[in-house]
Amino acid sequence: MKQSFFRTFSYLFIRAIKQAIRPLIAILPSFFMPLFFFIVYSYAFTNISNLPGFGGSSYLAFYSPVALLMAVFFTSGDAGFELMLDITSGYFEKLLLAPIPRLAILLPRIVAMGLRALAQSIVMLILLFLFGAPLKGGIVGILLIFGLVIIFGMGWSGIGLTLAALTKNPRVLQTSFIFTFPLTFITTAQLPKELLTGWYKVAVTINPLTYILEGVRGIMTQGVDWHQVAVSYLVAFLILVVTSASSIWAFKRMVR
Amino acid sequence: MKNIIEVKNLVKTFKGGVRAVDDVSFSVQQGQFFGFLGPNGAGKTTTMRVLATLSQPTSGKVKVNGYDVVKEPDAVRKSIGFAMQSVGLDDLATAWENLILIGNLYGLTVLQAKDRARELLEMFHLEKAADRYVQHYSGGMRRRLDVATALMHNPKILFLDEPTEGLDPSGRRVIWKYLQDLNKGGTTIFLTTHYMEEADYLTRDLAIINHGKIVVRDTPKELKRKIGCSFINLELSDKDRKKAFDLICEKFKKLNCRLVPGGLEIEIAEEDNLLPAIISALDKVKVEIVNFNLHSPSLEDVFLKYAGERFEGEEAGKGIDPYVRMRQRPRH
Repeated sequence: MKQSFFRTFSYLFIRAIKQAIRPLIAILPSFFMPLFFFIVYSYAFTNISNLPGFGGSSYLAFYSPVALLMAVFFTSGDAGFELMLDITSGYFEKLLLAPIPRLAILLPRIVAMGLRALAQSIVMLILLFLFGAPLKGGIVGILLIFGLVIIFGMGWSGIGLTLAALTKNPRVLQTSFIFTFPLTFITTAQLPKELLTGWYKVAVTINPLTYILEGVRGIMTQGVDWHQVAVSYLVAFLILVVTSASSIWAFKRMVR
Repeated sequence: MKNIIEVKNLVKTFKGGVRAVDDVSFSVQQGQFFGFLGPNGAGKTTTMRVLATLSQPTSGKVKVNGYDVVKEPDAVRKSIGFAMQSVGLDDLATAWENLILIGNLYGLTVLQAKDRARELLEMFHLEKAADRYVQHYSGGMRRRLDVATALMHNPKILFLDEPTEGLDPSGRRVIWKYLQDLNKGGTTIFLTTHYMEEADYLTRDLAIINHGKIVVRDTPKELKRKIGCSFINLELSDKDRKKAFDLICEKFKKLNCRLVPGGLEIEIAEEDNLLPAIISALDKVKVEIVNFNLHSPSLEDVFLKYAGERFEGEEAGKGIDPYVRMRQRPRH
C-alpha cells in the first residue's frame, strides 16, 4: 500500500530543490555576506600575512576558503527554515496524510542541501578565482572540495532540521543561529593555529569546522595533501552521521 | 449500505490528562454526507485526525474503509482525502505543481496526475490560474485548490474540516455545489462546520459532539422536528417592549416569552396557532408591532440546544437549561 521509497524520495527531492531556489533573489544574501567578509578582510588584513605562520601566502588566499564555507554554512541553515515553513503552513501534514514512507519526507531535504552546497561552491569558487584566490589543488583539488562541501552541507543542514522538528517553533530556530554562527569564527578563519594561544586555541582545535576549513584551505593554497584531505572528509562525514541521526530521531519523534 | 467508517469506544487523551474524545462510538454509511458538529474544543477535529491517521487513538477501535487506522494506516490514507481547517499548500509552487506532486505521492503516474489535475482545475475554475504561484491566490482560490488536492487520488471518503471558513457567501455556494456533485458521484463526505445553514443544506446525517461525547445523532430534519416548538419574533419600539412582555406573560402564562434586543421572542408549541391571538392582544393595548416573523426551529436551534452551553461559561449557566440560556442571548 505504501508508495516506494525511491519514487517518493525523487518527487520530494525535486520539490526540495524548487523550494530552495524560489524566489531566486532569496539566494543572493548567502553570496553577499561571505563575499563582503572576503573583500573587507582581504584588504584590511593584507599585512597580517607577513607574520610567521602564514607560510608566505597572501591573506586573500588564506581567507578565501572561509568565504566558500561561509556560503555553504548560510545555505545549509535554510533546511530547517524550509521544514519549519512546511510545518507552519500546514503542508507538512498534507505530506503526512499521503501513503508514503515517513523518512522520504525528511531525507530528500538533506540530500537537496548537498546539491545546493555544490551549486553554491561552484559559483563561489568562480567568484573567488576572479578576485585572485589560488586553486593549487587543480582539477582533482576542485573535485575534492566539491565532495567535501556536499558532505558538510548535508551534515550542517541536520542541525536546523533537528531543531525545527524538535521545537516546531520558528523563533527558536532563528535564535539558534546566534549559537551556531560563532562556531565559524572559533576556527582558523582569521589566523593560522600557530598564532593562536590559550583557551581559544583549545576551542579551535576541538571545533570540527576547523578541520573542514583546513581541508579546503590546504587544497586551495597548498595543493592536495591526502592526509589532510582524509581528516577533513572524516570529520565532515562524522558531522553528517551525527546530525542526520539526530534529525531522523527528532523527525520520528515529531510524526509518531 | 455498508458502513465505511466505524468508530468503537474511541478515547483520545492528551498530555496533562485532557480527554478530548471520551468513549465515542458511531458509524457512517458508504455514500453518506455526514455532518459532525460541535462547539470549539468539543473533539471534532481530534476525532477527524484520528480517523485520518494523523493522531493515534488512546484506546478504542477505528476502521475506515474496512482498514484499522492503527494497524493499516497507509491503506486508510489511500482511501481518504482530507481538506484541513488550515489550508495546507506549497505557496512557492503553482497550483499545477501542487496537484501533480500530491497525485504522484498517492501513486499516480505523471500522465495520470496531469489528466486528473487538468480535470480538477477545470472543475474548481482554477485553470486560468494554474501556472501562478499559490502565494498570489485569494483565500477562496486557496480553499478550492486545497479541496482539489484532497481529491487528486479519487478518495472514497473526503474529510472536510470547516472547508468554507472565511469564504464569502458566493464562494461558499461554489464549494457546496462541488461537494454535492461529488457526493452524488458516490464519495462519502465527512464534514465539520460552524455554519449551521451549511450543515443543514448539505448533510443527510448528523452528529453533535460536545465535551468529547456524541450528544445527539439523526437527520437534520428529524433533529429540527424534535425541538418541538416554533418561535415568534416581534420587533417592537423600546417603549412598548416591557408593556408587551408583561401582557404576554400575564395572558399567555404557558408560553415562554423573552425580552430580546429590539423586541420579544416567544416560544410556542408547533400545534398551537397563537400568533393571531397574540397580535390581537397587543393591538388592544395599542402596542405597535414594527415587524414580526414566525419561524420553525433551525439547525442552529438544534445546535444550541445540545451544545450551546459552552459559550456561556460553566458557572454562570449552572442550573439553567443550556438551550434556554442560549435562546436568551441577544440576536443580531
